Amino acid sequence: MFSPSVDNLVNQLTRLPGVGSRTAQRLAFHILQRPKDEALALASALEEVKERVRFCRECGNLTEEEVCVICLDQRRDHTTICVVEQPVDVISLERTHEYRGLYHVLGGALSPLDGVEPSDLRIDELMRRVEQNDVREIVLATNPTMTGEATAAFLADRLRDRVRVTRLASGLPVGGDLEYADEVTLGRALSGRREM
Amino acid sequence: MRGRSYKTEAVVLRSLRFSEADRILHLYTLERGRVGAIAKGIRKTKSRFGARLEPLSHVELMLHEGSGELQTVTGVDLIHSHRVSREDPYRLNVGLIGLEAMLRLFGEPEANERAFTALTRFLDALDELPDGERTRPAEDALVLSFQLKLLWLSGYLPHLTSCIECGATDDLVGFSARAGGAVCRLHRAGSIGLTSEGMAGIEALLSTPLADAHAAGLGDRDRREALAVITTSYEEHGGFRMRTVSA
Repeated sequence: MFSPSVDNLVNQLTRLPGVGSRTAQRLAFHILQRPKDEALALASALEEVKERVRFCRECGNLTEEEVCVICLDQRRDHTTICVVEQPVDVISLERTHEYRGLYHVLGGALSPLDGVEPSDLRIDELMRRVEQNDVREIVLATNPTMTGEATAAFLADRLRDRVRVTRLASGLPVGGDLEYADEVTLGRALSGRREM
Repeated sequence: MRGRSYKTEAVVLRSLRFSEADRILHLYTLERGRVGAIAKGIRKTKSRFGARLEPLSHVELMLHEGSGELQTVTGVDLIHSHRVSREDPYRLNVGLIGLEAMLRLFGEPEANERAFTALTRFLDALDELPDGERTRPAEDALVLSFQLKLLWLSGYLPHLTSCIECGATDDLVGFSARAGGAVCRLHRAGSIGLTSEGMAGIEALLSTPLADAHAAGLGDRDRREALAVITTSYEEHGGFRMRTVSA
């Protein structure tokens, strides 16, 4: 509609998650209006990230080296591994400053309906880490969704005899009112209540 | 054209991550049959939907129908969460087979009250599934019975009381999905083997209420044969293979 190169840019931007054609058009015109060096800095950042960022050999987290800084950090507790679905979950858990162990990124969750099977996830790598290193606890931090729970149950079955397996607690969000909690979450909060 | 809102009972069949914090839901509704809807912001911890829209949930929904293909969830009340089934791996696997069968066989936005009732009864029975009677999930009597009933509701009910080719009532030795039922020794070419016990088992699973499917007392071989009949019927009439059965 505009010119082949603008159309191409709009098409490329539309491929990003959550970006529709209107947003893509707005972004494309914004890029066109900015100075050339600013637009090229974006292009070079995209190129650099694709060139340099890869998955950590140990945990599957994003890194620019072969092994990520978390796995290399000797001050962390190497006997505990927290299992998450995606690299973004590592960032969320790190923000808590409550956890000092290592991570293992599965790369998704089991979902028979979508054809995601154990062989599609980094489960064998996790088993290898447990066997080869002196791991004492696995913290299952997959999402509290149907697929996340199914993945946690599957892993717990395979790991239970070898190592201590724990699951993130689920219940009421801190700062929220009880009256707004949904029945399932409140039910789980009740069944997971603790002694005081 | 202005959109409109309506209230309906629904079961969540599938839930897919979409955009930053949304989910696309595949629903089977009482009023409209299969419906696709978007639940905006559901993945945020502050979402008012909470955990009410996970697969297997039986809910009452307020849906807004706009001009797009997907409707929008604007309100939800939980009728039955089926949490027991979601949190037990065996029950979950059995449940997922039932959900996939619904997804595959009832893909149209067309109300089918009997299919909806069968689905909710299947989920209720799944919660009550006895702990002791566990086999391979695909061969569970409850999900076999549910799928046979769905085949019947879809018009693909296999005819098993006589040979589909010649009408003979004795010496039935096989099942031909292409012909649509049991076949005698003379017409068994291209069929799968089916014993008289297997046929009786399928008849029992069809005629027994879902909640009593386990009480029908089918043996291992009978259940395997029932699964083979269902699988070949899907392949022949629907042109699909179930992912959850092979998983």
